[in-house]
Amino acid sequence: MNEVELLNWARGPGLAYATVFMVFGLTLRVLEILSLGRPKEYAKVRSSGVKEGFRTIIRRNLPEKHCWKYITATYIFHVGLFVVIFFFIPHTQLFKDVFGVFWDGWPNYIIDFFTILSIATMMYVLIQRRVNPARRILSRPSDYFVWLVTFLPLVTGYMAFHRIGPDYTLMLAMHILSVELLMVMLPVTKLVHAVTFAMARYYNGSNAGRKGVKV
Amino acid sequence: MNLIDIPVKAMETPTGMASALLAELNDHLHNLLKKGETHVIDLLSLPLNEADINELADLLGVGEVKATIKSIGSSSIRETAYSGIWWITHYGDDEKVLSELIEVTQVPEILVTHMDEVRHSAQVMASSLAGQEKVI
Amino acid sequence: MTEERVDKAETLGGSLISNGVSRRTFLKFCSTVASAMALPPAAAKAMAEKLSQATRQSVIWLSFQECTGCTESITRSHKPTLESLIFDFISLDYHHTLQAASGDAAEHAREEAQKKHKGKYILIVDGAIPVKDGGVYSTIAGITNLQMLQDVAKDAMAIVSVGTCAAYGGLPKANPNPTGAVAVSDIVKDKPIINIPGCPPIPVVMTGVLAHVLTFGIPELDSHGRPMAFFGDSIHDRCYRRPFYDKGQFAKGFDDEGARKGWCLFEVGCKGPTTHNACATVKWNNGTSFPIQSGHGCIGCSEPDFWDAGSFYKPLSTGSMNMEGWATGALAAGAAVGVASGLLNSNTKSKAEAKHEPVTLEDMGAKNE
Repeated sequence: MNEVELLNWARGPGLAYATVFMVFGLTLRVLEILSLGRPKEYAKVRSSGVKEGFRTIIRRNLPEKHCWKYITATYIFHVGLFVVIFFFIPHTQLFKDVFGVFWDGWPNYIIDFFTILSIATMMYVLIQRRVNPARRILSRPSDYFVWLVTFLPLVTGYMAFHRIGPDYTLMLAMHILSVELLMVMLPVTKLVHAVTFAMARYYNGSNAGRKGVKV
Repeated sequence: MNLIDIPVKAMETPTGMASALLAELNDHLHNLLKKGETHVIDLLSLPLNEADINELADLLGVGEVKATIKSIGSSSIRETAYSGIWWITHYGDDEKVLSELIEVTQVPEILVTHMDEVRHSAQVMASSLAGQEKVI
Repeated sequence: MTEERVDKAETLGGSLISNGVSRRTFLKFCSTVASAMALPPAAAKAMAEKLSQATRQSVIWLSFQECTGCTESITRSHKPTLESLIFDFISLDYHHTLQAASGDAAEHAREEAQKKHKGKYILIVDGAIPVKDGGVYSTIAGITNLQMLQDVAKDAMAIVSVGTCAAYGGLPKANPNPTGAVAVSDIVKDKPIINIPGCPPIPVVMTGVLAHVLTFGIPELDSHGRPMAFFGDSIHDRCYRRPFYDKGQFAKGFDDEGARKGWCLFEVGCKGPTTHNACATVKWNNGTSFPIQSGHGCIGCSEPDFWDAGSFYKPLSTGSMNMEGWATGALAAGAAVGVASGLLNSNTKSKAEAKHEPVTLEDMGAKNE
């Protein structure tokens, strides 16, 4: 298979399979989690838990004092990823094509800035995982895998846009394929937090609130 | 209707390539002077827009020699204000530019009469002289 | 006539002078070709020298499953263009579209050239070769294209596949490929093959490559068998609208503000970034223009399988398949399975709740306190 066939596959069947798998998987997981509901309360319910739920969503977004550098770095790459994924003009064309919704993209130099920022902060976060003993113990192979799956599209995309590497067609194919891997991994790994983080935090917070725990 | 008449035009502003080329030409002039090395720059292979080419033409100016070749389409050979830098434009049969070159040399290659043609013309000359003699 | 003059007439240089093609025209041709091929400066003169010493090269041109657009492209003008000068440098011994002879006489001309110039002739092919059902879908003089190609290729010095059909299968090979069309390189494996793709190829590219073969031999080729000189850069690399791409200024349609300002055509489907060809520099119709310059995106016609790479009008960053309904379908399927598994889970949950027994302090070992 040469680079042209690879690109044609990535833009054709590959993209279709990945999109279908991702949308199917995410819908399934979200609905399954929602339909599980709460366990029966055997103790006296102290509060509706709504306030605590929303508080937790916000509170867990705030950096803790003892690890503010790490948390800030993760923030930067999350914001960077969001900007790069949703506001690079060629990407907006893809969302328009697949989902029929369109918004204006941002100039390339802004996207370029956020790409470099995301790559740098992701590297920092990876190094911290290895350097900090607590984080190293907590890290499982899947954490590194998930990091790699997120990192590859950024690097290949940057390389393709700037014509780095042997051949643009090959780089573009690699970029699209790496994104397809990310799409497929999204529902089946902890990457699913992209769509579940708010409801998971709400659940934990409101659960604590109902039991009378201050959050 | 010509392409020119269609009101869709890309906006062209000079990119600064002209002055970069001037620096390159300076090197080639020195090479010609010191080592006798000639050089050709192919303008069409460079990412120049029309504004760049006009700017370059302005920078190089107009010299004292201008020659025209009539073959399939015409060719225009002009020395620029900088002696030894020649501007050569080959046109196709319909006056479209086929190639546009800058040659750093004493005489552009295309102006020099080739020995094959000298030999041919000598033969033609000889036979026409022979013909005249017969008539006389 | 002296012995010497007979010899002279046999070389190209001599025969051209006596045919009224001047040495300067010759040099002009070579410098145009050299310029188009980005050859080093001295090459034009060397090419002219070599070409004038050469004898006429025998060429057999086979046309298979094609539209004659490639032949049209190279012979298009009724006036003598510089490109068409190449026909003075070669001896086109067989080209069934162009030749005066027809029927048996034409086929004899081909066989004769094959015999006379065995191992020395150049074979030019335009069109794909259908191989399904024994190749019956295209025949000439009762011979299938497949047979004719194998037969003529056997004694050729080199093969030039002109046009995307001969080079990569092109339109005939496009999905669903009813005739089982393949490229020349899928059949002939033991001869040097130069691909000059394009639909059609640029005339000067064909001429340039032929001139190069006649003088300096087979040019440097890329991984798809294309001469690097013409196909080394992508359209995008050499596009004069490239600055607009870099700045992110795109035309959104063919008649909007962006289109009028000449902005990049990426969003209306330009395939320039993945297409390798010389259109952006050599241009078309004697350098008049090329598709992007006249406001239409590149369709990628010099790349393999370009017909199957999706719509010409959809951006390169989007999928090539029509995905309308796919996402909605996946959403609906995901919702259905999600609800079903939810019901299953809630069943498990209520069973667990039914089995629930309250824990007393005694159970927790508090009895003896």
